[in-house]
Amino acid sequence: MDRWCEERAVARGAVVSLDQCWRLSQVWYPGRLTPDWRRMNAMETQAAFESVGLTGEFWRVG
Amino acid sequence: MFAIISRMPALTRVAIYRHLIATGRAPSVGEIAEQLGRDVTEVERDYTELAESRVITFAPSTRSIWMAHPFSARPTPYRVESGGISYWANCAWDALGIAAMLGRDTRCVCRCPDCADSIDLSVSGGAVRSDAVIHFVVPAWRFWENVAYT
Repeated sequence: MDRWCEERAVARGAVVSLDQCWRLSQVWYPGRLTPDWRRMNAMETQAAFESVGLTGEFWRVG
Repeated sequence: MFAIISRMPALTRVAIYRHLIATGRAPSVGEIAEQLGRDVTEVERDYTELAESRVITFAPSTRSIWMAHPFSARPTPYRVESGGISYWANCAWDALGIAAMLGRDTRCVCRCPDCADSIDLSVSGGAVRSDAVIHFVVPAWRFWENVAYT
């Protein structure tokens, strides 16, 4: 991963397990199939990240 | 005081996602208008509103859906198979997002962008099958600066 970042001159970001991403997907996406869905506000988004262990400056949304 | 908010863009959104789930393909304005029994110009307005609120993204210089997260209307390295239908995800996270939206097992094998090894992004029995990791390059607060690059 460090080599990939170096070759593209990008800073290393956040490394997340597939299981964390899967759990985040389950709170993030399915509601879009219901008419009453609305985009999460910053506080709700932050809570969704934190619910799967995504914390720290990288995951701060506002 | 209260505001009267049209539910039509929401119904259009649901119809777009149902079409994507049923076919793997993004619907045109005409297809959704016909399905909902509505005027094309009204549905065009809904598409614009959905794009402005970042629910869908138009392909550059077009009014055609490019992305309705987690789905991509264009081929990507993340092809998801489920129920005999092929879908394209925008990224590795979205490959899992498609599984979450479908609510059924999916199969998706992509290539590691670093070493080209295959990575299994399939979901089976409500769980992922791989211990791989996803590298997010762009901090969360900047996700929407360039939605095609996170």
